[in-house]
Amino acid sequence: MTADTRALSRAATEAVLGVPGVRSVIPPGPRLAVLVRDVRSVLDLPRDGGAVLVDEQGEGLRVRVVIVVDAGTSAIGRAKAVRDVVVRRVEDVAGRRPTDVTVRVVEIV
Amino acid sequence: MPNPEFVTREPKPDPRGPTLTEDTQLSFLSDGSLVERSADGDAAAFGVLIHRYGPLMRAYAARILGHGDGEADDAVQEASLLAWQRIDTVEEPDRVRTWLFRIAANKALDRLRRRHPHLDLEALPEASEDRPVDEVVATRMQVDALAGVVQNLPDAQRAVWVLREIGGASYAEIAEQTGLSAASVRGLLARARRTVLEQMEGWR
Amino acid sequence: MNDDDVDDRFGAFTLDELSDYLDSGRDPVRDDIESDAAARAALVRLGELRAASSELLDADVRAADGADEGWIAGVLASIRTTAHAGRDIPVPDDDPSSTLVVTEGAIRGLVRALGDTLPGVLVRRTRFTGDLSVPGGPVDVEVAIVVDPAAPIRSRADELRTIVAAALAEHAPFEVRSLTVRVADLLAPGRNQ
Repeated sequence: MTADTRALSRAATEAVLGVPGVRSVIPPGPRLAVLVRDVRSVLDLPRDGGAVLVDEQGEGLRVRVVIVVDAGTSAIGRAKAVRDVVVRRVEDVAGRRPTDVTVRVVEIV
Repeated sequence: MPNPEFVTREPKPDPRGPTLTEDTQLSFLSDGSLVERSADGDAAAFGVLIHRYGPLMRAYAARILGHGDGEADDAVQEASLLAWQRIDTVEEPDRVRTWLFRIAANKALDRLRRRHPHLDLEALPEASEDRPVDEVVATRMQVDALAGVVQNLPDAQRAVWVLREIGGASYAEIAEQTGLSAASVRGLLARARRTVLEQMEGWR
Repeated sequence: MNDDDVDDRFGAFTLDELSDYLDSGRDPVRDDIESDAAARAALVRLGELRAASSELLDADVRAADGADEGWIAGVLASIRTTAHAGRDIPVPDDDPSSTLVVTEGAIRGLVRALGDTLPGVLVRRTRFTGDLSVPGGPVDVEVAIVVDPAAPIRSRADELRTIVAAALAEHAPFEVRSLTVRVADLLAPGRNQ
């Protein structure tokens, strides 16, 4: 069954934003160090998707999350909490766990 | 349930107070420290650097280009963005002004070359086309006159003259930046200097 | 005839020779040029032109009269949406299908923000030395700072070290083998912007 990756992306984004200590979710680019004039024009971003990148990769669903977190709680803890929430939400919506999840904290404010 | 399509990074208000305080402190940093802090990742520090040298970079690009609507603006914007991208490669942070000027010159030269897509600057006919002199509010007569004379040099001569007389570049650096031979650079510079000297005689 | 050769001579010297002599700052002194009246007069003229040339950019900036604010604002808006994320620092974790990362850029930004909370201190650069790819591996951290010479430098540096150590313990996925705060430069109040 082919997953609706846009719906998954929206759902995952919503779930991540619900994690306390997460300030914002950023659509991932090839590398954030690459200069992009407008962060909305990053590659791969589906038109009505969310900021979490979800795609089908051979054996399963791949998820990539880029977040900005609060300095008040551990960034390490936030990365784990976001991973847990994303895995649960994808499983709820798609009926299967993602096979590859990346969570990257790029800023602590 | 409210659900943003996606969230981009919003500049958040600093809970400690207006960032003016930070920016003011940053403006007390030396060039070298601004480079280091920019390389560390602080865009605000880079902003101070651009405020410090941006206008000069733009003027430098404009002098090389001679004319062209908004070309100097485009060149200096490209130069600034490239500088940000490469700020962690600066070898001598205290000499960043020279580094920035070099990038600005390269962007201006790129555009100059684009004006003559099938010719290299060296093959440009020497008969100078009269171009309208920019309107510069004259604060000093001689500087204004010099600006006009330089403006009217052919592209290749003007580029080399500006790089040398304003940018302080060596012959080797000019050759490298323009792609011309060292001999051509010398020849173009000699002709440009002769023209400038002759035309400025009328302003004594 | 090779038009590249400048035939005009000033006394016994070509424009090229005189320009080069001027470029060298008239050092070493060339008696042959200095004793040639026509050449000397030309040098004076060239010197005036050189002075006018060096003022060209400043005059242009004055004439632009703040018209640069537009493009500068555009550039700063563009770069604000980018980040020098730096290397990935992996978070030690048991799930083989997960990759958890805190970027170097995140930690550096945090250290800068901590420095900003201390009066008279600005963090200039934070360096991480060690194999960052080993989850939880030992890393040496060096923070280069700029200080206000009027401030109590030693105590400020110590204070920064304390709060950075606490922040690293909270947020850095690596083991901090050493933490050094180094004064790299002084703030110069009164420096024009």
